[in-house]
Amino acid sequence: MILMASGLNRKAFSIFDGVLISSLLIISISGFVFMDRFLSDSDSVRVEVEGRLHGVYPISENRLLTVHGPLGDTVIEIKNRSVRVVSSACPNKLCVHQGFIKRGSIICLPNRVVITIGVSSVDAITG
Amino acid sequence: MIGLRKIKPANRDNVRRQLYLAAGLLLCLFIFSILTSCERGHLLRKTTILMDTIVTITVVSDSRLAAEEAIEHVFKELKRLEDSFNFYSEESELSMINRNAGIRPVKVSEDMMDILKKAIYVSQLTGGAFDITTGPITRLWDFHKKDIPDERKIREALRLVGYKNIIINERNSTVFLKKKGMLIDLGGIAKGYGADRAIEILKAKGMKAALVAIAGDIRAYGFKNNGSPWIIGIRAPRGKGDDDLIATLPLKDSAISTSGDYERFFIKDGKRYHHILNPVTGYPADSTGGVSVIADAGYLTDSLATGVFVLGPEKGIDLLRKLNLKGLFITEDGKRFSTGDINGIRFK
Repeated sequence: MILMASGLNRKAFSIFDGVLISSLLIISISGFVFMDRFLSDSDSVRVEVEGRLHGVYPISENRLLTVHGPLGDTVIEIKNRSVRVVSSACPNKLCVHQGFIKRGSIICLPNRVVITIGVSSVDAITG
Repeated sequence: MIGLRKIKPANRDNVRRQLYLAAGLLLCLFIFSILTSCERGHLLRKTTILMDTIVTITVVSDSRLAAEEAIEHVFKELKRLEDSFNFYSEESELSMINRNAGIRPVKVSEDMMDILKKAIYVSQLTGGAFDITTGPITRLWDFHKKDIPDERKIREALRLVGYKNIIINERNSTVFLKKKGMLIDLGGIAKGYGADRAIEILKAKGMKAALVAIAGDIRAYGFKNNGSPWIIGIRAPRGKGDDDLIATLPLKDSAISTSGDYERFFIKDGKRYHHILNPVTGYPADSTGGVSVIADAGYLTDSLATGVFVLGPEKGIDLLRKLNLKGLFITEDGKRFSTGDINGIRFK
């Protein structure tokens, strides 16, 4: 579409064609925005401490949460569909230095905290 | 891509017509997708910590604002129930009943009367395999310290266990525990009861569909906003983690709960000591693995999952069949005992 637009001849294409192409672009982009909104709630952040599930949180909801591992507290922040470790009681702070992630995991081995972003195939787990 | 200036003037109208057609189709498709999405509503999920566990509520609603308000209302109600049913808080209504055991009847709220009547009903159904008066033996077991209580203390505590010693006077709205030292613990029914209350509220607030998960006690109604049923995973009793599932199933307008020997336990001298205590022996039930129960109410699934686990796979599944309920018992060695009519279940 952009390539076509770049090759436009003013005489060949009127202002209406420009409006049409712009509308197409806006519709396409807004479609992505809507799709993102409808699908966003299926993404989740799993937080495990010492191999036990601490909680599963929606990635679409900003929050700060503190979990207690064997070395002390790990503070986790979910913000703008990303996750990071704000502070940790571990010695090397590798988890903190990893910064925000949008996919994958942050693993703090010393404090036994595992944070995973993923799309779950089930709506809830019993057991 | 062909440069459009190279297109002959005679063909320009055709190209323009095709572009308009494409734009029109795209617009129709977009409007259609928006309309169908609006029909099914938005999906909103919120999580909090209540009743000493993680509570996740997912709702389908036309209005995001209404959904948020409804969920907040549910959280407040669950907090209120938690405050009333809390076994460990001296301030709770339940502690008031327990403190007055063997002393005097205590006037109780409608909620307390309701949950006690339901708990006694399930105790009767299970022949005492589920019993809320196991408080005195529950207090003896500390699964963090990994200590097995003294046998003599267990025997003494067992004298105080027995749901038949709960005296309910509905006319006066009072509850009396006949023996001094008796303790009611609603831990085996309160979460399922809370899920029922949550669904009641969400329905009253006009939510199109909802899924309430209070830890593993889950109740659903309606369908997701994509038209499919809510999908529930059953944790594998000896799985590698909490999300290691043994089966999945669709849950339609009903509840599911699971009790297993893997939730709270310690192993001493090669023997597993878990938190599901047999009200008759005072020790962990002999069953292994876990059992999931499906029924129309959360209070039933929550309490029956415990009762059926205590009864064991054969007797327990037989009971569920008699009650016309559904259930699946999976032992630690992977043997399955099922009522056999769980629609849509898929094993991994």
